[in-house]
Amino acid sequence: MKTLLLRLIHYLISLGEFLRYLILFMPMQTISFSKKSVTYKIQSDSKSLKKLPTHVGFVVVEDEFSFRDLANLIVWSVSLGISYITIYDINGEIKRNSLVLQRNIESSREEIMSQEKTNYDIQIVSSSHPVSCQSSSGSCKAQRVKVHLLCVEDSHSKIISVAQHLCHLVSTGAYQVDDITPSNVDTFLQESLQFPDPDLCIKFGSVDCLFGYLPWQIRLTEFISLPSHKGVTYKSFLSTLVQFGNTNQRFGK
Amino acid sequence: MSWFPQRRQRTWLQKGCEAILTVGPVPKHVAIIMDGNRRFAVKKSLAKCEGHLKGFDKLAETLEWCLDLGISEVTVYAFSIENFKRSSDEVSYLMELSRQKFAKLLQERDLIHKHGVCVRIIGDISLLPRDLQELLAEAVSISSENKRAILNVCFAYTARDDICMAMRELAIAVKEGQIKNSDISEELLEKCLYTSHSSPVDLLIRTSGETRLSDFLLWESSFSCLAFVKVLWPEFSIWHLYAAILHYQRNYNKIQIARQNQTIERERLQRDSDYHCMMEELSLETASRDSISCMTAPSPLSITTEHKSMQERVQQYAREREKRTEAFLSCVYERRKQFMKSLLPVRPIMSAKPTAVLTC
Repeated sequence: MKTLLLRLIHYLISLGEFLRYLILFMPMQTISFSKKSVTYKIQSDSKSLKKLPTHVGFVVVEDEFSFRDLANLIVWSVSLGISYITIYDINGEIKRNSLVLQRNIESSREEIMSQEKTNYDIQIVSSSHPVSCQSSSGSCKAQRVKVHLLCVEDSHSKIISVAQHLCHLVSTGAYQVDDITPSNVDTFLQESLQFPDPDLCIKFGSVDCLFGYLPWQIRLTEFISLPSHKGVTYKSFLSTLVQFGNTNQRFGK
Repeated sequence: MSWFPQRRQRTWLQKGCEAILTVGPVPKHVAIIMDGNRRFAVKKSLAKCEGHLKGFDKLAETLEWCLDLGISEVTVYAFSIENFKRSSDEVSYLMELSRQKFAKLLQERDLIHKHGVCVRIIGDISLLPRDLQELLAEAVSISSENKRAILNVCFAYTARDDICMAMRELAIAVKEGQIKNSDISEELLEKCLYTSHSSPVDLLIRTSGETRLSDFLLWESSFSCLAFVKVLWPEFSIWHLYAAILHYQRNYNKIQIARQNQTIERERLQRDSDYHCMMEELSLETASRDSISCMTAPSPLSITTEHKSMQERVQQYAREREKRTEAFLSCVYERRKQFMKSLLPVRPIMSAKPTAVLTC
């Protein structure tokens, strides 16, 4: 009896969530706007935002992936002026398909950035592909943006590698035990991963869990959830950035 | 207000909800960031201190709710190392509040034992004033035998500091040759953290609508359900707790699967590392022997026996590694225990108070 009641409550919540999703997100998807207006908007939007994250992380906790939408997210972020992007899924499905993502980025940027004068050099980096694939537009003046593809292997085990490295240094006498401080460990991790701590993390999917996304780096990261990355619109992406711009961090004070 | 407030009669509705909720999975370990005390004070135009006091009362109340629901471990973020940056007035007030509250807790030791609550302090308490350290150590020591529920108080804690402390322990042990560098694994580092004696964090609640972790349990909360609640901490009610548990139940299955995969993956990595280390040792051994004997083609029989002996060697290596790390960990735990003990005030036994002869 009680079990049934609990199950009923859960069904009702799920139904409620679904209806909320329908009402809030579906209308956006049906509105399609012309390409030209999008580019124009991105340029002006980046100026109107209160603050822009340097590093944005996309955590996908869904079972199916739409590389087209991920590519759109990357291109929008790059056009807004975000310099570091990480994309995380626990099993490394996105990492394995980096070439598919690469192709999608090409077509997506043609569509979205065709009118733009500035060139961006989008570089995909992942530990399983040491040779990074580049989507360069030829000009040497292009601003370089790195997209890091991550999975669970890049999270806790990276801290362990740093720990092993530090222990080795201490045992050889090159380093003092008291020098193992948060700021030094942070430097080592940034050197090995080549990106600063994410300022904003957008999580796609209904499960509220990070599934091992960069445990060291998320100290001050703002988390914002969106129901799905499939069919995500520019408008809902921008709304997360506006929300990020309105937060106020006190850093313990 | 006391740590164990007078039990309030709960309404039939709350009882009903509790009965229904507990049919599903209930988190064993809940971590709470009690944020919003000062904003609450501003909102109600009270003094900042009032806000903190209200926050403490809410904590005592929440602990009771958790006990009733069967949540056996609660971790709260009381004071971060970053909080030392606040104005000296506020810091000293917070220290004074903690002093009073822990002194109160020591007075209520009968109630602690009655409820079976074990108090643990998580963090680098050597950063705190000495008298507060002593109070904390005493609270830990009198309750350490209790088993029914655990309250972890994070005091002078940040997750990054915790990870660095663990790395230091490891570095010292590697330097002294107690463990090998290759023995360092996720599991071993985890066992050096302050939270090593805790069960995995199932649910992390942060109040006041902020959606950050702010250096709280970064390592431990990777596979926890996160619940960001809009209300300020002093306004947190039993209904918010119920909602958070419902939220946990909705996410339960997926998180559980991910955790299982994680354990399998860790075991695989450990086996790999054992194999590589064993091979390294073997190649060192044979290199010294090979200089004498020349290579002969191995017969099929010798391959199978060699394979078998390989497996045995790996197992042998794993056993030795476990022995090493266990010895190391018991050293670390013993040292921490001794540190806490060293803080205990040297005081005659309570019953040996001077008798009231003087007043006669």
